Amino acid sequence: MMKRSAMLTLILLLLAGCTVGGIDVEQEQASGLAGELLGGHSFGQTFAPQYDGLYRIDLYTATYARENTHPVLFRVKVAPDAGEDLMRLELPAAQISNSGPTVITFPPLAGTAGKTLYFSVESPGSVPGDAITVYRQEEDLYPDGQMFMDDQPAGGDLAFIAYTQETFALADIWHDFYSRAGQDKPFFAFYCSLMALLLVALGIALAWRPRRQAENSSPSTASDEEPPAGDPITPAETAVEEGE
Amino acid sequence: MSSDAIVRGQLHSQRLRVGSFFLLAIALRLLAMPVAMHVDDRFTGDLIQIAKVAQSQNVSESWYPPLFYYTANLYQKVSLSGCRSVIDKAVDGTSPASTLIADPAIFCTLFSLKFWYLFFDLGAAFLLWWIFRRDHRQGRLVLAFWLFNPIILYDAYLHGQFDVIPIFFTVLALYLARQERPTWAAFFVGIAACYKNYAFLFLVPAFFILTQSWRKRIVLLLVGMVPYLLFLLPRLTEYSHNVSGYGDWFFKVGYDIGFGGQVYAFVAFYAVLLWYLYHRKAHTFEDLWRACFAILLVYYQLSYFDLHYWAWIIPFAAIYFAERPREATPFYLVILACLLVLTAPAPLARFLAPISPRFFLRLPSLMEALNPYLPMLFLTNVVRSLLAGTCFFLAYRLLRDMPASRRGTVQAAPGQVTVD
Repeated sequence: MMKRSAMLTLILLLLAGCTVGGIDVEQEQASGLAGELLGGHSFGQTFAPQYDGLYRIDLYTATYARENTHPVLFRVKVAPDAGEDLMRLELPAAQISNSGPTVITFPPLAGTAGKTLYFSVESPGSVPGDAITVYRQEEDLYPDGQMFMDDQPAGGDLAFIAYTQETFALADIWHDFYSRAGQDKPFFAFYCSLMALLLVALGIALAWRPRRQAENSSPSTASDEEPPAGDPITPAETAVEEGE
Repeated sequence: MSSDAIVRGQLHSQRLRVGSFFLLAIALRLLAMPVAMHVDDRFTGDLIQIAKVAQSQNVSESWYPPLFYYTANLYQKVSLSGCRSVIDKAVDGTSPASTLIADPAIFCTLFSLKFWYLFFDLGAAFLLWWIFRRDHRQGRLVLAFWLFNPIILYDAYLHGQFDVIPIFFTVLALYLARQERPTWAAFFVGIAACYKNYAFLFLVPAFFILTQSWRKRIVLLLVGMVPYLLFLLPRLTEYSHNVSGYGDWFFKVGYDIGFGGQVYAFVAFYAVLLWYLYHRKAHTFEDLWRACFAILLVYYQLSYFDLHYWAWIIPFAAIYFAERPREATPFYLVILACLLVLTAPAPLARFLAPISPRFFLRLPSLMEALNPYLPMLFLTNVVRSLLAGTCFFLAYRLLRDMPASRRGTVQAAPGQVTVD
């Protein structure tokens, strides 16, 4: 009963799927601050996730160790000049970190694998002395994207980490395998034939043995299971074991 | 039924059992061949990288002795004729690792690149079985231990490393040593070293054990060294650059004696062992495998190792297991458990990346998953220390129980009575 329910749980888990994910793009180097993010301006960065399911960006921010009051608008778009936002979030000023990155999470975005995306922050209403900032690297260390200021290329990169996650069911993994394996039919035809041949040979070898043993079944044939030459443990071994 | 018929029946049954062992083992190996590979973000993975270097014969990227690359190049000319695209892309260097793994031709490529391992792997299994053929029970034990050994399966068919080639030549050398053919034994140890340098560790002990005359010892040393030098010398200047980093990897345990002077603990142990063999006048087959076994057990504790390096020790471990299963089993269980824990930093599931790169490449390692809750580095170091203690004790025990022979070269084989 226990075994059956454990098996059932395992099958359900496999069918329900499991979520895997982690860091997809990482550019943590920073040579300094980008300056105050004032109202009417924006800082942004293009980047290219390897996988689908972009759901989090850790953006290295600073508050100048003061309590700023204006919220920050975070957007994800397909390009700096794209009209439509894929994601738009308003972050309260208190959420902006001064020691370490500000973690920005949102529902996973589909179809992000291999595409260039753009994220930006702006803070309408922010004024000098009451504005946040972001960390930037002046040298271009991240080749798949670059920093933007007011939607214009600015050279270098922002300091950020992008995370992706996807949920896989057993069927997804199988589909991933099958869709690629199906493109190499000659190999898999050969491979499956080889495996089938081997399994048939194994089946014959396993089925053959009991019959032969049954034919030879007499008390003396029991010695087949025993070592033919004396004690399985050598005298030296016995001596060692006794010595312990 | 006559006794002849019973004996024939037993032999037949024995052959079928050995045959089914082999068939099952081949099925397991074939299953893993096309769907598993070592993955490294820097260069796709060991198997592809090795194939790429063998293809291009670019010595500056080679980590292994030249003979391996010559052999691999020759093999690839035949085996890869139907599925070259992945290796060609790897040689071009234009495709990132992730796209090579996702290529539909990866299955055929992996199968082709690993298929030749099967001959060396099964050849080694056969030779080990042949050494013990007089005792059916020991023969079955050694065969089962080899054929279903998780480390051999992992090394050759999951990771895709070619350790089974030098291992085969090492086993062949063991077999020839047992057959009282020391010159051939030394030659094949040398050939094993032409594939991976570790086999040189066995050459000097073999030189002490296989013969007693100093003249013959010099001959054995020459026979063992010459093939290696012949293959290496033409490419020495290029190759020396690649092995210059060995000092950062191997023999790290030791102590500093100032002005850059360093005593390597493993080399010191090795010297002690040689003196021990010399004074003990060890000249039996058992002395040989025990010495080699102990050397590797200590090596892994005093020098860098990756999990697949443990494949080197399997022939000696198999002989010990066949001879003394009750004594060996507890040691092996502890060592296996420790090795499993030590895989925590690397997600083992990544080896299945060809099945679904999107899924398997993103699975976290045990270390990553548990790090927020447990001091994983500390815990793995505790396990590493347990492994070291177990291996040191086993090495001590192997050397302590080594038979000594003061008269004549006695090549006592397993299952044979030692004539002293």
